[in-house]
Amino acid sequence: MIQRYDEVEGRYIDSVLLMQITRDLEKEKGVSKAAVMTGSRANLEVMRNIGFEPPSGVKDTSVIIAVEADSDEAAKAAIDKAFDLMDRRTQEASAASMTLDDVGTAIGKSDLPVVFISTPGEHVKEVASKALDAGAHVHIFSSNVPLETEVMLKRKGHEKGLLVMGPDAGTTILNGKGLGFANAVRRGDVGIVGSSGTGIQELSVLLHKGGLGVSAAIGVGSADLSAEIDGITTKDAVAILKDSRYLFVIAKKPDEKVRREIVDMMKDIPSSFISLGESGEATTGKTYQTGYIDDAVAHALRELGMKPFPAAQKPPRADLNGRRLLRGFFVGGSICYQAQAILARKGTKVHSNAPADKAYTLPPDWKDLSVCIDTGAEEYVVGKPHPMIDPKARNAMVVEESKRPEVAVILIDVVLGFGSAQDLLEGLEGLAKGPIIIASICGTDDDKQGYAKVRAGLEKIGALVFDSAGQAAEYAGDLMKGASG
Amino acid sequence: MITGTLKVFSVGTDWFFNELQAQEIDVVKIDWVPPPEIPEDIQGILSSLKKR
Repeated sequence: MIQRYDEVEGRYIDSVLLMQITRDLEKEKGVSKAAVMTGSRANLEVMRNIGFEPPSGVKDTSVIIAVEADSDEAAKAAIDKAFDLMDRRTQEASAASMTLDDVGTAIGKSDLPVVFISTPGEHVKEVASKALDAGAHVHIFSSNVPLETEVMLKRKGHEKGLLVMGPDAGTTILNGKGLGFANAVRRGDVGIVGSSGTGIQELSVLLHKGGLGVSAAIGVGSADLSAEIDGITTKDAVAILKDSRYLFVIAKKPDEKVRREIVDMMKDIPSSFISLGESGEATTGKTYQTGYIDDAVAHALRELGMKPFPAAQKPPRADLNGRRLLRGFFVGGSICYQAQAILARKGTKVHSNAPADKAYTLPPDWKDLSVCIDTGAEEYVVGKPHPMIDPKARNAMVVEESKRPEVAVILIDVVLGFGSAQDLLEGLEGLAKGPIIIASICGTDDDKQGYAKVRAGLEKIGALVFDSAGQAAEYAGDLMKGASG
Repeated sequence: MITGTLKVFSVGTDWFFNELQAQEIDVVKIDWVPPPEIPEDIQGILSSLKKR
């Protein structure tokens, strides 16, 4: 086998496009593997892990093309193809007709203008400031934005009467359309405000399945309910959505003072405040407070006179054959977070890279522990697309762990919708028999991946499938009560 | 209540621009590339000029 490398300097190409170019090269005749990535230290390590030896001294801003092929000609042809694909991208970009400076003049009187930002985090300050100056709301998908920048942008937006959704906002739904990762849910009169992207997705899908529809779901970014940000966007969004038939706010670890202020704004309308994973329920005025998405949805259905969901099924007494460990591999951070709390309540303590309880932070060597891993967390996506866009790496972890004789239960989430990849089960066909596979689908019949097709695919590989991530975690927790050790 | 016809300006990855287009949203791609990195020694000169 022949390996060839090339380095491209001074050209910006985003990680999703680089992934697509990699996939295209791998389909070329004679090519056994390829990697096209920016030259960050983490990416060079990824290349070494898959058997490449990238040249030394590459710049971390360069794009590195690595190809392994059965002949030098095939490797050269693949490198040429990579350049060709990158050139096409550059041409497409220069064909775009508008710059940020043109946005202001392009906004019509009846428009609801939103600038959707998915640049690297260090460029958000400049881009979002220009967007606000142009009179547009902003949805910032990018993460790694300093808190002081977020405060500055949100204060500026608030003064101008514009929403700053994010940074690190995965999901927003406006006028029935999704920005970022979002499911095809029915339009209606229920409002959602949330600091957790997959939390909003799971909530909107469960409401859809319960017969309700969403007027708007406003993603505010993961830090909005912190003491530093003071819930600026959440408060603005709650004020905007106060005429909803029912209103949800969903958050992870909100600051106590910020939570009180927001609940105070909500308490006169039928509503739920979900603080993910928190134990105990409370009611303040008309606002129900809970730690679980399913519980809040059940409350809303009851309040609005809708039919309740069927209760979670209890597992039969399963023989786990001496297997004792649980593996949760999630693409949704909020789903991972909620699962930890449910499992803990059921008596299975799990360690996590995104721990609900810091005492259970994932140690470097976790192979002998039960774990819930958020595979969308920073350490897993440096220089790579999010696992909802490219699920191969997450699915490879699932397959690898299914081969371990100690693993009793594997819990996964599959999140459909706009923004997610078309084939979310890619690579899972190699699952070993032994562990019980429990999967939740966050999706509707109208999602582009096809709910029925994904469900059938999961059942084909032997998974027990749930329509709610909460119910899937409950089932896993009940099963683990029978695990030894 | 949020009113108006949704009009999106997409800055950044092509992936999300394509996903917005797929929903038949009125979406415009913004031509954007990161500003060139300025070497530290030049940055030093520029910031001292700004101070003056």
